[in-house]
Amino acid sequence: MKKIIIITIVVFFISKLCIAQTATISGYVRDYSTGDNIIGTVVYDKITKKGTTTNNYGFYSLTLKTGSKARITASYVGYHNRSRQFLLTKDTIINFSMRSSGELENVIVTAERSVHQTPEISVLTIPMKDIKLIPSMSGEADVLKVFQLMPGVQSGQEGSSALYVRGGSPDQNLFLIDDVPLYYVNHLGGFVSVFDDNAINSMNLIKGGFPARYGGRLSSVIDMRMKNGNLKEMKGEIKTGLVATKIFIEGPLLKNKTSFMFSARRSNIDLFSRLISKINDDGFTGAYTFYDIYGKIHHKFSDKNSIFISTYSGRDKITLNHKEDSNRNGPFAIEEPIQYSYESQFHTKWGNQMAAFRWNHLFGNKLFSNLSVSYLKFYYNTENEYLKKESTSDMLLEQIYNTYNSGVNDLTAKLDFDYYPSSSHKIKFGVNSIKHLFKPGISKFNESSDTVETDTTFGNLNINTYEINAYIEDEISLGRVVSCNIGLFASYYNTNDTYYQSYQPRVAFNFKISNNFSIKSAYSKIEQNLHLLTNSSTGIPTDIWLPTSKELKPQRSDQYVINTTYTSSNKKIEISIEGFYKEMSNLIDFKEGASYQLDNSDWHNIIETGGFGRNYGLEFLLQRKTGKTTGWIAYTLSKSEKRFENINSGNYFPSTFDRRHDIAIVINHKLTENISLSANWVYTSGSMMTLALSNYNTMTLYPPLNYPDTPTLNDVNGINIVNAHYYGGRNNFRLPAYHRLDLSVTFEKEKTKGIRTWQVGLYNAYFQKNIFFLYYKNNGKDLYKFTLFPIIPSISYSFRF
Amino acid sequence: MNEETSITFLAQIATGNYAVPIVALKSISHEYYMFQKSLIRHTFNQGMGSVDATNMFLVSNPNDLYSNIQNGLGIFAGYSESHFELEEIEQ
Repeated sequence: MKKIIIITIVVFFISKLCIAQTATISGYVRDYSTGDNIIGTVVYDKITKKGTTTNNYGFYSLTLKTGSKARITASYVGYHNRSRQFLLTKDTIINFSMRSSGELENVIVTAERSVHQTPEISVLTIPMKDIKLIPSMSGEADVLKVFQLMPGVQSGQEGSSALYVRGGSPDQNLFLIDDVPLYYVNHLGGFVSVFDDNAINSMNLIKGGFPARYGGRLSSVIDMRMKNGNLKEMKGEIKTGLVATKIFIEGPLLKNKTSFMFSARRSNIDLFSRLISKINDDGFTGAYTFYDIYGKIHHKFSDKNSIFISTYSGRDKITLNHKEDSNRNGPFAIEEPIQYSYESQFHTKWGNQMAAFRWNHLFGNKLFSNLSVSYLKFYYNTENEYLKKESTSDMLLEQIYNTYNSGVNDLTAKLDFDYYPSSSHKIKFGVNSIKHLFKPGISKFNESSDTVETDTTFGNLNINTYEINAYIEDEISLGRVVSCNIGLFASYYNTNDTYYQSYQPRVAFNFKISNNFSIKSAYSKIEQNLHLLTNSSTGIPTDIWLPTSKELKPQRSDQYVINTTYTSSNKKIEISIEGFYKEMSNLIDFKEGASYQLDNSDWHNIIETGGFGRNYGLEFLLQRKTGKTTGWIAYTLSKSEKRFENINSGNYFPSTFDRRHDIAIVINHKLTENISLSANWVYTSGSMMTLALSNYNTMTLYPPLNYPDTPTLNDVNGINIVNAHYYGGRNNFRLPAYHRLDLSVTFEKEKTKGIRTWQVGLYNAYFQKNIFFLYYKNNGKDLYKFTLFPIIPSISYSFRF
Repeated sequence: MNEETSITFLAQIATGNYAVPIVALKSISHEYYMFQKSLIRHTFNQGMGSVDATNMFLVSNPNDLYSNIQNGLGIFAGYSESHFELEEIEQ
């Protein structure tokens, strides 16, 4: 009895002493079967109702008052919840190992700390396994095309995976692959993106209310994390479809310490095209190929230190060869006929190469750090060679060779910290420095024959620029109702002749009205020190990346967002309505009528600067995330306009992809254990185009060289009649609405050594003849439409082991 | 504008029993120059040709023709013309 009294008193005193004290629970959340980090897991104390989420490396830290019971629960969509209950007396490390709930089970995730609790706004996340089910044109899961089905994200030209986020152009998207920004993310004119779904652990898209840790692009952030590799056992997958064949393998090099991941993909298209050119045998051979290779090595020294080495390499290549022997007579008819052979070769290739080294270090249990050093190279090369030889002697008579090279090289050093001082603050801060080397286009021309000898190099000079950025943000919870994220991104940018500095405030507020309903609002300012000069929207990379300079000021944007979200009480259905207003300034465009083909000169002379854009709209999203039938309905009502002083007489004109209405319905249904069905339907307003309202005859002394037929009015004076168009404004005509239905069926079957999957798909299932482009016939009297994508079936086979 | 300008150009002219070649030099007004400049772009960007790669990828946004007429189309411009006969140089 005495003992009990003493213990009670001691416990009482200890608990008294500890009332003002806190202890930190920290650790990692990992997948049970692979050991890979789970990003964005909610870690939550059921008793005090305080919680946090895991960062990009699966780490969390939660500081609570000591002396009371804690019931810490980790929860993530698609996984069983894990809970630990204990008396919190001192700093504790808990690593959660989460078991996947299995695709077949119908698990309702009870994430108690929901979307209503964080000020996070305008973030789109789609689980990777859903992306695999959604039908695609190529039979190859494409993450970017799935994002195009979400509200506020619009597609450009049909088939392209370019993203137009809230009226922004594709160059305003920040594509981060393990923290390294990529420049060009499309293959094959944009029909396939470089992101290989096998290599990706998580991916989300932010379209507004940007947290301060991101900067440098105006319209969106696509934050992609590569898989670290399986720490427990070897796993792999092989897959082949009509467009590409790929292989994926991951596993431990040292169990529970070191893991690797390797994923490679190569196009199949050239196999067909090479065959066709073999059969035709007209001297022409051509091929198009692309590949992507992702690799990663992860080593865990301890829970406090781990390192990661990530690499990516991707390339597209177009080759066209022509060979011809001719029996043509020589230049002088009297002499013996000489036989010549002609050879021409054309290569174009472009791609990204990336390597990153990262080191995670944990200081105590509240401060997490990540140091990364990375290198990125983007290149675009064209090579053209023409040879004329004498057939019998193989003597070289004439040689013309030219190349065109452009690209960007980036060297980045980056230090980031996550600091969790208490349960109501989550601070992120960091600094990074980037050295860019821009090559805006160098042409080499070399000609040698018996009469001419030329060797010239011309083009734009390389430009070195440096930038230093620093940021700090704090996610603060102010009581049960209000939480906010306040941050600042500061940037200093140095180019050849000038420098720019900017302070970009970022604020987001959340008002949790009830457990099911919240209202959020955000403001963000962003500057972008890069401009993209692009000739068209088709995704052919004649794109030139231009850094800011004295004449070319950084692009700026101010965006305001307001959002309300409602979740049904059984957490199955989530509805959100979001409004946005975005202003952009210092945009660039081609001078009226200018293009690469006509203006082969310094890019400064062909661009119009100082453009202003305004975009506003309303987005609606209804999602069903769990159950046998999942999917979403998205609707966007928006308007996007631009204004340039010297374009369209200084008046506002609609952006090319100003889509007033944009609807997408996506449904995935699990029919039986082994069969899933998926369908999506899109309906969008047509894009904008400049079409002539009327035409008239005009006269000139000098008919343009490219003009087909010029009737001559008066032979003596040489006056020619030219047919002129009257447009009356840029993008004055809206094309008919675009709509399409895609279907796919996935059959899975467990075999003794793994799981095999057949996927059959149908793109444009009801054969809607959508417009790819319009063209004139009959000397401008008739307008015709060209449909590029009819009904396209696809099939793919994969085996997972 | 009485500055003297020299222009060097090369022309391949067949020799033989042809008439003496004449070079016609036309001076045009500034408006005409602007018009002609915009005409080249205008016709190029009309996309009047057949269905080919040029139509798909290379044509930029069409532009209205230069005009100096208020509430109307076309230009008011002038030009003058002078002729020179080419002298043959003995080689």
